Amino acid sequence: MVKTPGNRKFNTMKKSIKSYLFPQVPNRGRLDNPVLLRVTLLPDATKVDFGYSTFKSVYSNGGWIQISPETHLVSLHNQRKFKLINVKGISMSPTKHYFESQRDWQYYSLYFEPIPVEDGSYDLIEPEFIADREALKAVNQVSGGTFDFYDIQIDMQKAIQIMSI
Amino acid sequence: MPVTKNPYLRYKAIDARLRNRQKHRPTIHDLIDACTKETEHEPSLDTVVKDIKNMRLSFHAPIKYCRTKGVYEYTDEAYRFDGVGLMEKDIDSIKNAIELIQSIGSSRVSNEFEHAMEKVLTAYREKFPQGNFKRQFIQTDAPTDFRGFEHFDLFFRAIKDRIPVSIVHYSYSKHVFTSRIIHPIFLKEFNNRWYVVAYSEEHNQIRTFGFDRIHDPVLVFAAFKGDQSPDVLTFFKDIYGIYPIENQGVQPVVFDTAPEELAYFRSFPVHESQQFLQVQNSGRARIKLELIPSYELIRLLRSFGRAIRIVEPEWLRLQVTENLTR
Repeated sequence: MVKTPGNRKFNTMKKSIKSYLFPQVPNRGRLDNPVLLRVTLLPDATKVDFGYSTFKSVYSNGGWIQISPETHLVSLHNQRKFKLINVKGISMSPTKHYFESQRDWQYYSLYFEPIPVEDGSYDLIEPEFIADREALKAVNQVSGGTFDFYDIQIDMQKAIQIMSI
Repeated sequence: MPVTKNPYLRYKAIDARLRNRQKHRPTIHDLIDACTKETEHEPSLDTVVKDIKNMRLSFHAPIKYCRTKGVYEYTDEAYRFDGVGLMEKDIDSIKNAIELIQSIGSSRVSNEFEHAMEKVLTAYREKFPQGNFKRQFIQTDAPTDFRGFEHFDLFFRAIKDRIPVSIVHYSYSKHVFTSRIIHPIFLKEFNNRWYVVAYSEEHNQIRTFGFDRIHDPVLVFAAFKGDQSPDVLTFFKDIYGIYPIENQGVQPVVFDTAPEELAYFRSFPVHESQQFLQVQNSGRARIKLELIPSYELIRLLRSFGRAIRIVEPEWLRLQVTENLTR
């Protein structure tokens, strides 16, 4: 790591051209709604997959989901932040993805700046949701937690290389 | 592909002009003229030069350019561009197969097949049948927007090349998502729904996964474990449908049918083990199946309502009746 005149940190490690998938990712977070399913280290992004089911929703129509553009990963090793750069299957706030019933579900992926291809632990923080008291209240009613995930463990020994199609 | 852009038609035209002894050896402009006549579209000089290069590289065509006279010729008189011996009936069979596949659907498999056959048929100067038929005379029951059908090609490749797949699965009954590594062995269609049969690392056994419940499958580099699995065809031989009832083996399932259902069971046997134990003059019949009861079998039996009555096993009779009395 080096510091530029702008005091921003840049990773000087050579960019990996391979992609690695972690089918199981230990973390201290929610066991359901949303559930963190997989992490993939792509050459130009870190993809984190989630599943959300409205089965236990307090809303009769299943409610809605969205993700704050301020959501980020933060390394527990050096506090470096990795910004959210893209989403798939979920709307960025203020837009919402509305469900139709309590039997609905949604698979979605968040793409962050690429994290180093090495062992590490990360927190996934969604700042805006914590500030949104109404949403937080609804979330807490469902499963007693926030949308944050803590201590997401990247263990390269458990990585599986992805095959390009 | 439009005929005018079909390189194989141009290859054929170039080949025919090179082998035409009635005319002088062709210049590049003679070859352009030959292509124009064949495709009713004038290709550029660059296109024909590239065609000649491709014919040399891909089809080993012994085309030589004589610099002094500015003409092209074959150095091997015995060379034939169309080296596959197709009879007229072979060409008809290929055309019929293409039409049938196009009627069933245009997945990537179908497109690749069309492309391959295009090469073969063009070599025989057959215009390739285009996708828009003036009259469609086959209609299948395949839904066009079936969720998950886009995974077909990936699982097809995974099975063919024995590649494990990372999937996210959503269970309709438990309402939960799970991330799994599966080793696909077999693709199965039942009632217009597609399923992949695979060894599941999580369950340490063969499982069947509906395409519609699978999200974002990814091929991964890992040792393939599907080879250790029992013969899947044998596995499905004893089942009607996809999902067997847990802890149930092959057993007799006996039921009585109302007279109006006799023709149905005669025309469409539920399973290859189906036997008529008794048929009364009225048309009332007793039918026996020898299989592993499945959720799909229960659904089928329930669909007949009171027109059938389960005789055995008792637990199945209770399950089918339970739904009817709700």
